[in-house]
Amino acid sequence: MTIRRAVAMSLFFLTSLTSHQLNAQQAKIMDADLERGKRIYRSVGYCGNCHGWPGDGRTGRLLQAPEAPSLRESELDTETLIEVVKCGIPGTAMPYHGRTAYLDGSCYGGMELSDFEQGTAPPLGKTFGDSDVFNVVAYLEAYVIGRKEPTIEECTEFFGNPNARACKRLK
Amino acid sequence: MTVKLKITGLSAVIAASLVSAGNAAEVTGERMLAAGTDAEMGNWLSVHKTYDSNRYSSLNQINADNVSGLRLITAATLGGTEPAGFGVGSMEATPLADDGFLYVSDPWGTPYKFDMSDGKKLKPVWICDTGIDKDSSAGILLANRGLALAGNNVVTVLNDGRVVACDNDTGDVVWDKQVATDVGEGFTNSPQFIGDKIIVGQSYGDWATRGWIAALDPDSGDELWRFYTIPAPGEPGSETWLCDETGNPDCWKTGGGAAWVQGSFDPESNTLYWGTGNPVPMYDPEYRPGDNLFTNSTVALDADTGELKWHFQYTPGDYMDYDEVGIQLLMDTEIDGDMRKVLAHFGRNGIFYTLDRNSGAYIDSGTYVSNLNWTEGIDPKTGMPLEYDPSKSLQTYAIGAITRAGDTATTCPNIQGGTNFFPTAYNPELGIAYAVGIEGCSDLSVRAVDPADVVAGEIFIGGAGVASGVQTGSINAVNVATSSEVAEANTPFPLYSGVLATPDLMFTTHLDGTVAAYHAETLEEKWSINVGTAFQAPPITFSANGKQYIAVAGGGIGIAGFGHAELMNIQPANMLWVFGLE
Repeated sequence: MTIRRAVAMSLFFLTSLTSHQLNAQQAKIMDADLERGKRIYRSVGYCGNCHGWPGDGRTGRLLQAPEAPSLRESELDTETLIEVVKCGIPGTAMPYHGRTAYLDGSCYGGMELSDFEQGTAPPLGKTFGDSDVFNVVAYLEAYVIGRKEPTIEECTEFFGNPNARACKRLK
Repeated sequence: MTVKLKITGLSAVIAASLVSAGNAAEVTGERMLAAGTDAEMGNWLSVHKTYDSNRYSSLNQINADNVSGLRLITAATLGGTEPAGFGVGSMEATPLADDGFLYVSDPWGTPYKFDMSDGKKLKPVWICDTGIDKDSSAGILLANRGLALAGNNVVTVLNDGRVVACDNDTGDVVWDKQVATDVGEGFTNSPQFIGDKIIVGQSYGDWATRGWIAALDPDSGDELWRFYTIPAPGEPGSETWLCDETGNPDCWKTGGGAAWVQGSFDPESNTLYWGTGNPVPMYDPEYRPGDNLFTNSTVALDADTGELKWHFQYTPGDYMDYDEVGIQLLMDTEIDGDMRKVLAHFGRNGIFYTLDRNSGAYIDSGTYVSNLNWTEGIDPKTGMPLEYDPSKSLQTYAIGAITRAGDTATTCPNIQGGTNFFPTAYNPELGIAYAVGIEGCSDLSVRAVDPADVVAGEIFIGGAGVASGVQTGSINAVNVATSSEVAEANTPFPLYSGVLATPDLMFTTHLDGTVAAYHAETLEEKWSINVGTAFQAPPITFSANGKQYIAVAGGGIGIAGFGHAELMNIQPANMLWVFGLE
């Protein structure tokens, strides 16, 4: 698949949610557990391996990780974030994390993995349930999206350690 | 009288416990020289067993005729599952065995000693407390590939740059040296004991550091010499760092070339052979024009001084992450009618090479992976890729260049190999070398970086190499005399562990928790068992109480799931497993 086609396909997928899904998901975001969301980001989904611990797409990334966009500069709305976290982005390296993704009819209009052309399905990431999809999206919206450059305070709070090795460069 | 009796009784208990925790003999240079002889047949004294790194044991109680009767004898739990910044570390350590005692390190480098001298049960003897700070924020690849037995010490290298020697009898720290001192430097490999020195290699090249190999005094840890894999301006090889072309004359200072897997040693010529890592940033060659010596190379060093004797660079001006830290197999064998002193190496770039280990001259090569597209072939005279043009500051291999202007490419094999740090082996009776690895490809792209992007201790890669499609695995057997493959076995998942060779068998371990034995010439599977821990470490064989055993360490999947649903959720449970016959 060419990059251009992958991008076009991704944009199509990102606009395919139904209004019924939106209402239910918005309600769940309201009740989300932000601490749990942080835990999912940090040590269940290992989102920082690609996006960096502050979500800037740069800081503290894993060596073998694919390039990932800055979440701090993300303009995606809540519903799209939920679908991206759960279902990944077809044609890109963004994996799907939902335990029921492509099984429960919730991904991109009910797609299943067998619907994809070979090599275009999103890869499998670390998986978690729908409630944690909501939790991690709520965490992103509360603590990541819209933030500017990461700070030492943000870093030590993220790692819960005033002497965290990852934060030394920010001092 | 009563008091005396009590003291005598206590002394007897202490004496008995010391005897049970003690070893028959210290590991000396003489014993290391004899590590491949009948005298040490039942032991595995160093990570690669012998100085030649052949990982070949002549023990043959377990053989092709009876291996189907192999079963689990005992297992022991290990610690070290505390995560660092990228998650739980990989269990990559080769166990050591001496007189029925086993030694292994966990991903944080913590050494463990077990007593299996009765041949029945792994009994914990001690755990050496290195004081490592298990900082869960540390953005490091968390791994440790094994220990060294040196005199009466058990030596470990740590990700924080320290080298620590523990007393073999008590597990107490004997000495503790901060050998790597620059931010970002540290160790993931294993120390190499060569009798009068311990050799260590700085492992974190991709963290914008400069690789080096150093010799330490085994009694104190004091540094004796250091060889930098990236030469400073004016030193031989520095002419291959065309940093001035970029306006950044210091590009060599973050040039990488990490030495993150233990090398080999030829005592006859007093030469060390180590492999070196990729240039950094790995995907942005425009940051570091030139061939970038001595990255992606085998370097031959004088063991007394650390001076470079020769080098052979496999992929000059690399942009595919084909570093060549993998094992340097040493053997004396006949090629084209002549007895040759050979260094054989399964390249991460998918090609098996033989070199003259006295001169570094290229002898022969052959492709061992199923799909290789980055080069049209190897020049039969020079050993260089056919596309290599020494007059160019930026190389363009057969897949095309990847550029800051936006050119991308797909390279095969995968950026991780082929084989990688996964130890290879050589059966001298059959003349066959073995490797396990990955079958697949990677999509490469550049993200331009500049000096302002260098942050001490942070990964500095300048782009991405992402698995392209499904990644599988293969086991490969190569005739060293001809560099041609004699057998291949394909596997549904990548192999990430390494191999052990015995007279008529080859053992390896799989990411899905399978331990297996194969016929040494055909690679027909002769035995397997699945125990559930992901295997990223190679097995060894040893004897205790007169019987032969197979031992291997297993753990979590780490970063090696490659998107396979069956692998991705294997949980970390670091274990030491021992198998034997009924």
